[in-house]
Amino acid sequence: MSTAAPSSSIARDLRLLGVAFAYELRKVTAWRAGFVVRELMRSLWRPLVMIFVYRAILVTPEARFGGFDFPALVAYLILAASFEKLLFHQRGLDLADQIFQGYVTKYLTMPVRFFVLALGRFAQHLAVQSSVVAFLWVVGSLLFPQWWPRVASASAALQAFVLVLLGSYCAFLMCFLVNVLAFWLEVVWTLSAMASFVFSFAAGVLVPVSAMPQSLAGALRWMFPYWAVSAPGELFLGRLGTQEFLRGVCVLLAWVVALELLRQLLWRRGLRRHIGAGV
Amino acid sequence: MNAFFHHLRLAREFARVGVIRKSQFRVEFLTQVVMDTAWYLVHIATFEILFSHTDSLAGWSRAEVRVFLGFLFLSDAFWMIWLGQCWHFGRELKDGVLDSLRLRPGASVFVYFFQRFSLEACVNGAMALSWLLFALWDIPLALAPLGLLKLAWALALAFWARTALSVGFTIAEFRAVNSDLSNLAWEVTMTLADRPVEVFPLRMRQLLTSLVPVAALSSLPAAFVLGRISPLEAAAHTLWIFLLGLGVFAWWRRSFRHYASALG
Repeated sequence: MSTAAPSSSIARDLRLLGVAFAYELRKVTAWRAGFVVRELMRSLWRPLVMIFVYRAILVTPEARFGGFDFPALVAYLILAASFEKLLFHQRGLDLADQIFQGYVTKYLTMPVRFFVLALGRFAQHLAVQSSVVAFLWVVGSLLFPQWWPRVASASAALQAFVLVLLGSYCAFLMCFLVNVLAFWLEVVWTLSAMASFVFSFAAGVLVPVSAMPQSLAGALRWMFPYWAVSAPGELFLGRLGTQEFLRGVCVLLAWVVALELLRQLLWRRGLRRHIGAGV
Repeated sequence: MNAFFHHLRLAREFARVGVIRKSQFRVEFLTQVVMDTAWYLVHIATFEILFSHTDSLAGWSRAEVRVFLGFLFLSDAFWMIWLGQCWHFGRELKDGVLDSLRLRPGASVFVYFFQRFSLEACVNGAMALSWLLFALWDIPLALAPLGLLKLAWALALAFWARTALSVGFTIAEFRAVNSDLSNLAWEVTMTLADRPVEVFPLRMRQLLTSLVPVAALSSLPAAFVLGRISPLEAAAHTLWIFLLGLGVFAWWRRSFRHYASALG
């Protein structure tokens, strides 16, 4: 009996996750123009614009930027844009609005874990963005074969993908945490936006972390954004090896544990403050 | 002239309400100041790292790019102070809550886009101005009387272009409701405005200085103050962007005539 209860609870959560995933997928595709704008084009612009910036800096074929020549930087930026699309985006979660308006109460009275509903969003995001990235890669590699990144090996691609997945889960937990602050604060969008700026910089979306000053790069290697974008990019291109991959897995798992514990703590404390009528 | 003073009074009223609102949400005040400060720091850090690898970026030196960033920050602060409402336009159009604009206490473009005055953005504006003055300190004659006149002109150009683009992008929402097109357009615009326009190829530069005058947010004003373009060239750009802005406002008013509360 003692083992049957948790397993039935897990099965119920998994069923709910499936339902939430299907519902979120239907919702995100309901507005076609919005789908193209939000899902297809998001996170592409900044890395693409940086290609022009690096073109202006690396004017001769011999010129290097932090060990990258121009074609290598273009490949890196394409990878950075692709990986950033796979990372959970702050707009994917409207938990703060639900807390402000008191809507979250109705979910709390149901015999399900609220977090599973949010996980449904995460699963939907990964499914949609993986399809979008796969589509863009097919189109891009056909149109620009000379610029498109070439994978160093199959294991390098797999290692990069594992890091991006873990990094995306960290980004999801971070979004959840920022949203949960709505139990205490009147406004959290500013914190979300700030987290997004800092995340992009620390992830090396515009400038590879390895090209940053050594002390700064050393500090960023302890943060999860680096292992979610910059390191997978360099792994994919064969600039980092398996040892770095293992270090990345350790750092990301440590972040997952820390963020998850913090999420549970803040969620419990927030619910104690929640009055169900919005702020 | 009466209409001008009437709209100035409306702006004063929006500012008064904005100050009262922000006196109630103190944490929001602080977080927005910190958010914009983080945005400034990320930009400064990015360019400083780029310049640790090169001496010139498409002909712009490190000192000149600092001036460029000053205009970018200050025009962004103007946008945050006065035009923050444009960020909500798509959702409000979909929800059909724009009926009050029909009452027309003033020009509909002005009443809608300037209604959300942000006191905290004034703090960021002061920081942005400090950065611009710090950057101009290294530029000979930039802070002389003639230089200050050019600075005022350049800022007016940047603010006008911001307003015209903010209004212009929302027109897309009338055509594709709940598409987030205006926010996407802003995201792309800000990304393009974040870099001196000279980094882009010729055709793109022409586009960004004419039909979609993103360069007027930061590149053109900085180039004018730094003497990279002549006063005559600056006057031509100013005239064109002024007329473009008037055209955009007229187009927005025409689009708004087709607005029905139940668009969504």
